[in-house]
Amino acid sequence: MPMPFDALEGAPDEALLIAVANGDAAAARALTMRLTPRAYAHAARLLGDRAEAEDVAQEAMIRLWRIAPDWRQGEAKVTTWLYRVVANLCTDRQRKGGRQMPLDALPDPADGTPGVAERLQAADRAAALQAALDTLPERQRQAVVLRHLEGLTNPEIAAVMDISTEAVESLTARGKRALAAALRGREAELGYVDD
Amino acid sequence: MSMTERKDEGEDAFLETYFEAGRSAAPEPPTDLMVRIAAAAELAPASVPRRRGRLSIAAVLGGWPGIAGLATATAAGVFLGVAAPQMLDLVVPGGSGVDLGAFQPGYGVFLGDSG
Repeated sequence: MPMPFDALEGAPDEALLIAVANGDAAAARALTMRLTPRAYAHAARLLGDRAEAEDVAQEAMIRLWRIAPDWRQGEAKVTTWLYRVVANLCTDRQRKGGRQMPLDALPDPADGTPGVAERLQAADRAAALQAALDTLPERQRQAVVLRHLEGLTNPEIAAVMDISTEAVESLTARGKRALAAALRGREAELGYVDD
Repeated sequence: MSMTERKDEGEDAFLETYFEAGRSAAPEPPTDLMVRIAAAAELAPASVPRRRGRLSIAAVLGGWPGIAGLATATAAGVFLGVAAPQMLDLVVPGGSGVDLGAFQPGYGVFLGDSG
């Protein structure tokens, strides 16, 4: 029996996944809306390429649908599984020498409305951050992205990356130092000053 | 507070402006991607064969290479069964005159008969 619409919103990921395995299309749509943005954003941030991120997000989600009938309840969080699959797919692509281009994060030129300058600066910062992330070693980039952009806790990141929380702390600390150095260098290059 | 701690805090605050910008400019998936993924979900559970309880004979025998090996071995066995009686003449000169039974122990060995 399909899940009633009201129940979908608050339902845990795992409950929705089991409903998907039972052929519940509404649960599949709800889970797609909930998880695809995460898979896509994570892939885009790891790869620095939106077209590649689309492929990775689609592949990761299809794998999720495939394992749905065999999902073992209570063993892992669905999001942990998903972040791990996305990261592995990204690694595969990077090893195969896939494209590596900076994110086209800059919006279209100013339209004259108030606050455009501020928004441009924020967009510029986001683009600069992505460019700096692209220079980090793979594991440092993954840890920093999960912690500071996806908002995961250190134990959650440890589960995704299959390492200890101490190792997560070490990776994020090193990653942040390298990021700060890269971004300060870029600011100096562009003649930016702190607000 | 030590110099290093102050430096770390300064660095965190500096990076946080970038992280904040990165979070608010999160890459968003195109709608058609979402549509494709949701559509795939409706097909996946029914279209993907479940492994439990549906192990094929081919899989048990190690896939097609296993089956090919088994067929070769079967054919070789049949050939030996059909061809061996004639081949024996080549191995044992005047084979037809030799009674292979002479090489077999008598039943007495099994019956404890000393004679």
